[in-house]
Amino acid sequence: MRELQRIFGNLGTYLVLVLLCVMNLALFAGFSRARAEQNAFSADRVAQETAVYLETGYHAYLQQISGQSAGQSILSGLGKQSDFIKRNRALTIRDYGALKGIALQAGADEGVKAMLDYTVTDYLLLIAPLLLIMELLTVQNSPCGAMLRSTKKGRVPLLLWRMLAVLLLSCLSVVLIWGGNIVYSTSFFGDPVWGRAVQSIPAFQHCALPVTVGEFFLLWGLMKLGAVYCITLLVWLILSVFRPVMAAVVLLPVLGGQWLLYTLQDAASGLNHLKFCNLFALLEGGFFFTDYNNLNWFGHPFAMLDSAVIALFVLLGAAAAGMILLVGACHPIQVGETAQRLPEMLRKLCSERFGIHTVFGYEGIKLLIAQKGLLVILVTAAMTVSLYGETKLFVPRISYWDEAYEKYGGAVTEEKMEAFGEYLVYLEERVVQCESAVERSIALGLTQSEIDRETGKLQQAKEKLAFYNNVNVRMEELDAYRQKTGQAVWLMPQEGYVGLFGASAAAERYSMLLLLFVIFLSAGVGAYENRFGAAPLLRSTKKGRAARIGYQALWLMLLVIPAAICVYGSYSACIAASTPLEYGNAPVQSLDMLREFPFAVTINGFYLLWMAARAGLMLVFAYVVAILGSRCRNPRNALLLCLVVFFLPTALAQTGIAFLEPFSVSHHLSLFLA
Amino acid sequence: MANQLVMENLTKHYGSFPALDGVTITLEQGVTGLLGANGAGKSTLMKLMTDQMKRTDGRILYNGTEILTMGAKWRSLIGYTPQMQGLYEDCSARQFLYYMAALKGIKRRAAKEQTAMLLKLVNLEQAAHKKIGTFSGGMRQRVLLAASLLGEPQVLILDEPTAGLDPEERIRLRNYIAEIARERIVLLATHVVSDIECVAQRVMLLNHGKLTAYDTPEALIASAKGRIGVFSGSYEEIRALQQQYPKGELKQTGTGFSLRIAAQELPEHCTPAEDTGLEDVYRLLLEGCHA
Repeated sequence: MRELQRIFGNLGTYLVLVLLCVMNLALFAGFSRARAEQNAFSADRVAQETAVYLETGYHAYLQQISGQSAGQSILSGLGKQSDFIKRNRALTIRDYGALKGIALQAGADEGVKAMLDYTVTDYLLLIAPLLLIMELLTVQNSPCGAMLRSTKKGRVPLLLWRMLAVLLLSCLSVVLIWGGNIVYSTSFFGDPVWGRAVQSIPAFQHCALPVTVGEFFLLWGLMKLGAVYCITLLVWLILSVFRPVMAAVVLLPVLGGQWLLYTLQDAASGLNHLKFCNLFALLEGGFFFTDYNNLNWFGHPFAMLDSAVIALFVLLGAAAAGMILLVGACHPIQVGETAQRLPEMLRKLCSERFGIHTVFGYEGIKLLIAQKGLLVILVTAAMTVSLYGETKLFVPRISYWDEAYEKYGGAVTEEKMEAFGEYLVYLEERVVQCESAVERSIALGLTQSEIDRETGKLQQAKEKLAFYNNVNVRMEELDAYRQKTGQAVWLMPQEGYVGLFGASAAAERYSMLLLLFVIFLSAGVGAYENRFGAAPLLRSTKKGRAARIGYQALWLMLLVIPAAICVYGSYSACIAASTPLEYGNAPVQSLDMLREFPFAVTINGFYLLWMAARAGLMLVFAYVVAILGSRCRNPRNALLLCLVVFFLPTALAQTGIAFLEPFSVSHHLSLFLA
Repeated sequence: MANQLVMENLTKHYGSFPALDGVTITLEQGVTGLLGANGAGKSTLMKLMTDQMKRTDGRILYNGTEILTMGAKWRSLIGYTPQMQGLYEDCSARQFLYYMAALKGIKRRAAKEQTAMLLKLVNLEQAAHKKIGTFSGGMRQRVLLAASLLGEPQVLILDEPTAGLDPEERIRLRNYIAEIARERIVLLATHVVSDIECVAQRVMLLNHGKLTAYDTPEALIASAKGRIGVFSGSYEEIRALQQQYPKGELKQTGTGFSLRIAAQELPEHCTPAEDTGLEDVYRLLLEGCHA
């Protein structure tokens, strides 16, 4: 009990949880808002499709299954295929048969769908329990651990209390972090109506479980909890039993292998059991409810969810037994002494053959290797790629625009204004012609369909005239500007550039990622010396003051500026992929938002300047973070401090708390123009 | 010309607390031992000498030039072993020494040669590629000492360099310090009085930030004569005397106990000690008697 009090009496545990919670909420809020922006263009169509699904679609689907056993897409390979197919058909009919007559009800589906698609949270759930076991391992391997083991209750009973603490923290992690997503999605997208059948949401069409939305969330949460606890126990066991290098060698196939199988293995492959009876499948787990698949266990079909849950219990039992027997009851064993020599040999090789002998080189090694900067870069790169894949931008375009830009796009000149005026006159005449055609067709007593056709033409001509009148207003405005300043401006589409330079939920997500990158990379730079008390020794050397700090600053510059260019650049690439940005050579004043920009540059030139300013600003921010972090005693405290000071208000603003928007660091650093 | 390090009226106040109070001293080539209780100002003095903190008053001159104006040049002349073990635990001893060599501006080839020589000297050749985080306190101390010796510094400032070393290593290092001190200024602060007794040409005593004595060990020992006494008696008698002299050294003898005490005037029945040493001088200092 004292152990529980010690662990949960530590404020740091809660601080980490709160920060993770806010970080996750900010990321999920960004995801949800970007999704809402994208969905706005297809909201009507989706609403119609859902109405049809609720009214007739789902019941037709059930009927179809009872007829031919649809929904089964997997033919897995443990056992005879023919037996399996026969039994599986019967099981499928039975499963879906239980859903006959189910009452469906409309509700806000988008929040549930957003949660199904957002998987970053699942991995954040692991952080707090893993940090706790790292702390427990430090105690376990210290003289204090030896002292505790020499007491009456210092072995199995103490271990059981610690395992309970890890379970409780896993629970807290799931409730606060993942639960935060439920609360946010409910408040942002609306009430999902907890009591309705989960099949009411079209994404759950294949779900064969007779559960409500609320029950689905409960089951899903429990699965995540089981997976988090099991992964944590396995990591703890392996790190306790094996020396660090050997532990890495064992962890790689146990967890890395499972993740690869889960991610890369084909769902229809013969050994798909390894994909579904997998801790990472349970951790993400949404597809257990949205897909219907039975696994072939020696000719007998078993629901993939049942199989996965049984596998989870087996693994949990094995990990717990392993902990009690190998860590609690036995003398501590540390396997892998030989493997432990590997890094030593590697260090020997590196320092003797490829030894770095410059302060610049060593500062790089400190930042990239010792302070895990390389890991931060890799994670950021992976997240940028993932963000790029997720970001879909729909820009609605009125069909007349293409025609207008083709004819009159480009620099507004007197000749073009004249030609445009003539075209307007033509359009007005066309309207008059259409009006008289309609009148004539009525007077001649033509058929209704012929009258309708003429009326349609008139309507079209009027719409076109109205559109071109709007273009005219715009062209006159541009021409007035040209005459006033002598500066040529272009008629061109604005939407893509508004997306590029302006603020949007999608753009904010990239900025938030960059903010996190800078904080994680720079916070520990100065604090790293403080952790070991090395500063006095370093400062007593010739290059240990300005030169050393200068090299640290140089490294930050070499890492932050390319990162800013890559992250911001990938967002620009996203925009360019969805909306052609063909007018880069136009003067920047052609854009409404930059009409008053004082320098004569092209849009491309302005873009380069803007990106340079953003990257520079991010670098200054990195230095501010490093300076603030250097006041702390160790990199962990520095990271926490910088997250609280810079990230917390930004994250809360991202979740929609309006009064915190002026404190959103990422927003200001991004230099959004509108 | 022999090098000289002059400190004039060196003063450092933390708020109103005087950590170092008007120390004036001239250090010359050879080992100068620095003795003082915890909080006497030893580390403050060393930090001022390595320009780690701002002084309240005074000057430090190396061969007549103020060290603050020398800046990086001064730092390239010194080797410093701080009291706190400031080592990166996740790099190897060799990597750390290479890093320190780079910071000291030592060229690649010389850095390699010196690192190999110093690792041998501090008996860390076998553990050169192990992580410092796995080292014992003594091993870490040896890495620090090797780091301070890199670049053949003209002034060595050693704050408790032999802490945590076993007797054999301590003797080896002491001998090495004595050897290199022939051409260098070495300031050696330690609580292990025997280290100073063996190698120091001169000893300075600090008490509450003030320099209370600065002389050769022989002169200091001579000054302590007659003020060190040994009292033998029953355990109860010794306990009673201990109340009066709490810093006295209790010893188990064949017949009972004895208490070695330092005092300006020895009490009755206390035999003056014949075998006075530097440790007694230090004891006198702790008792608040001027050496």
